[in-house]
Amino acid sequence: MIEVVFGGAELRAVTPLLVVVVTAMISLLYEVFNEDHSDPARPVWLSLVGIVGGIVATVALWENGHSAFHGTFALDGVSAFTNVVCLLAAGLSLLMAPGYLTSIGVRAREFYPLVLLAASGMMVMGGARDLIVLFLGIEIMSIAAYVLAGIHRTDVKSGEAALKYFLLGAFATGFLLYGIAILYGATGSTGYDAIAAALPKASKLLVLGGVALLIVALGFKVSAVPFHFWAPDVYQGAPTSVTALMAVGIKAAAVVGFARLFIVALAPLHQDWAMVVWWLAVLTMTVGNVTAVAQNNVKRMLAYSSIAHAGYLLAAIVAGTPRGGGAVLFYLLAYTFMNVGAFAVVISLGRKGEANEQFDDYAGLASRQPLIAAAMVLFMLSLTGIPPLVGFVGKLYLIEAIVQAGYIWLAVIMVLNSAISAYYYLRLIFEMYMRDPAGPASAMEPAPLLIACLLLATVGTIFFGIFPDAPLDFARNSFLALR
Amino acid sequence: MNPYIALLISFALCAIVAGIMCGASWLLGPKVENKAKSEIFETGNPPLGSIRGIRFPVKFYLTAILFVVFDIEVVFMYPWAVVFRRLGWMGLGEMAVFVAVLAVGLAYVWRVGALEWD
Repeated sequence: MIEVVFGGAELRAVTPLLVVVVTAMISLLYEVFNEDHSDPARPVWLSLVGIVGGIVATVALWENGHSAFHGTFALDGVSAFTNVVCLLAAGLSLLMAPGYLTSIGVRAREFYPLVLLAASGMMVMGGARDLIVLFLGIEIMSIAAYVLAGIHRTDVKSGEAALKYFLLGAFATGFLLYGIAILYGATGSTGYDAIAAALPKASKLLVLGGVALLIVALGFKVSAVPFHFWAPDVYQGAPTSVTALMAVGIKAAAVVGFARLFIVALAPLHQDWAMVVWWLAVLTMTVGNVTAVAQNNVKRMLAYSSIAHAGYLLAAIVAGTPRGGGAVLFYLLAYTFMNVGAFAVVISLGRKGEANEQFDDYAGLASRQPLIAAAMVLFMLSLTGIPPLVGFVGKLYLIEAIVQAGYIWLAVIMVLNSAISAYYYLRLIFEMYMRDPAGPASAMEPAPLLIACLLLATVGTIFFGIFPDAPLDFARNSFLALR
Repeated sequence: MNPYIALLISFALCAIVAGIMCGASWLLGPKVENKAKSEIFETGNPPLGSIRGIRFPVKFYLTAILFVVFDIEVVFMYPWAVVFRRLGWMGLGEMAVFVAVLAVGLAYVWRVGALEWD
C-alpha cells in the first residue's frame, strides 16, 4: 500500500512547477474573460511573471540529493539547471511572440498559457527520477507543443507541421511506453535507482530490448538521425516563436531526460548502449550538417543545424560520465542564448504577408539594419564555435568530456562536423555583408519586446562565453552529486 | 460463484445501454425528409446507392471530444472514491486541485463558445 505523502520535500519539489502552472491557468482565464485586446503585449507580462517566478522558486529551493514522492521526482542541481534553461527558452520565445503573432495574423489567446504549460512539462522531465514521471513530463510538454505548432490555423504549413508532429509524436510515445513496460518487466521497477540496482540480475535480452525502444522514443524527441524526419518540416512550418521554443526548450528537456536516464539508471549497461548512442550521435551530427549546407531557407537551415547540435549533445552522453553530463547541461544553456537569438533575427525580418526567410532575403542586410545584422553575425559565429563566444566554450567542454572518456574518434568526427557547419553559418554572414540588397530597402522597427529578446540573447552569448565558470561548475557538480 | 459473472453482466449492460441509446434516437428523433437531405453526399459526385445506419451532424465532433475529456474526470473519481477513506484529507485536497484544474478548462470551453450549438 503506497501512502500519500506530501511533506516539505514534496512541496519543495513542486513549488516551481506550481508557480508556472498556476500562472498558466490565470493567464488562460484572463485571456478568455478579458474583452479588451487592444494591447497585444499585455498577456506577455502576465506570462513573464510566471517564468520569472518559476526561475526564482527554482533558485531558492533546489538542493543536491533532494528527492520527493518516493524518490520519483527531484529538485536537485540537474533539474534546477534544466528548469532555468527551459524557462529561459520559454521566456525568450514569449518576448518575441506578440509583435510576430500580430503580424502573421494569429489572434489565438491560448498561445501564452500553452507556452507556460509546455515549460511545466519540460520541468517535469528535468526532475524525473522515474520512467513514469518522465513519460508524464514528455506528454505534458508534447501535447502543448502539438497545439502550438498548429496555432497559425489559417496557414497550411502550420497545420501540416502540427499534424506531422502529432502523428509521429504519438507513434514515439508508443515506443516509449513499450520500452518502459519491458524495462519494468525485466527489473521490477520504474524508478531509476531501483532499475540501476536490479540491472545486474535482470534478463539481458529483455533489458536491451527495452533500452532500444527507449532510445528510439527519446531519439525522436531530441530529433536524432534516423528519427529526425519530422524536424525540418515541423520547424519550418510552425510559427517562428514556437520553432524557437521547440528547437531549444523541448530539445533541452529531452536531452536532460535522456542524460539522466542513461547516465544514472542505465549506468551499469554503459558498455552496451554506448556503441548505439555513438552511432546515433555520429549520424545525427553528420546528416544534420551536410543537409544544412544544401538549404536555401534560413529557418530550414536552422532546423538542420539544430539536428546537428543534438548530435553534439548525444556525443557527450556517450561518454557516460558526470563530466559529460555537466558539459551537456552547460551546452544547453549556451545553445539557448545563441539559437533563440538566431530565431529572433529571423522574426525581425518578417513583414506582414512575407516571411523573408530565404538566404537571398538576407542579402545586404548589413547596410539596411546594421545592428540586427551584427547580432546575427554574433549568433552564427557562436553556433559555429568561434571564441570568445559561448558556443565555443560549450563545444570545448563537450569535446573535453568525450576525449576524457576515451572516445577519441567521436571527438575527431565532431570537430570535422564543426568545420562543415562553418560553411553554412558563414554563408549567411557573407550574404549579409558582401552582397547588395536584392529588393527595396524596407525599414521597419522591430517591436520593443523583440529588441529585449535580442539584447538578452546577445548579452548571454557574450557574457557566458567570457565567464563560463559559474554555470559550468554548477552543472558538473550537480551531475557528480547524482552518483 | 464464478467471479467472471460480474464481467459478463458488465458486458451485457454495455450492450443494453448502447442499444437503448441508438434505438431511442432512431425512434424518437425528428425525421424531416427532403430530397437534398436524403441524397448521399459523396465528395460532390452523384450518389451511387444508399447507406445504412445513423448519421450525425458534424457538430457532434466537438461535443464528443468535450464529453471524453470530462468523462475521464469522472472515471478517475471512481477509484479515488473507493480508497477515499484511506487517502484522508490529503486525498480530498488532491481531488480538489484536480477538479479545480478541470473547472478552469470548463470556464475556458464556455467562454470560447464551444458549448453553444449554433
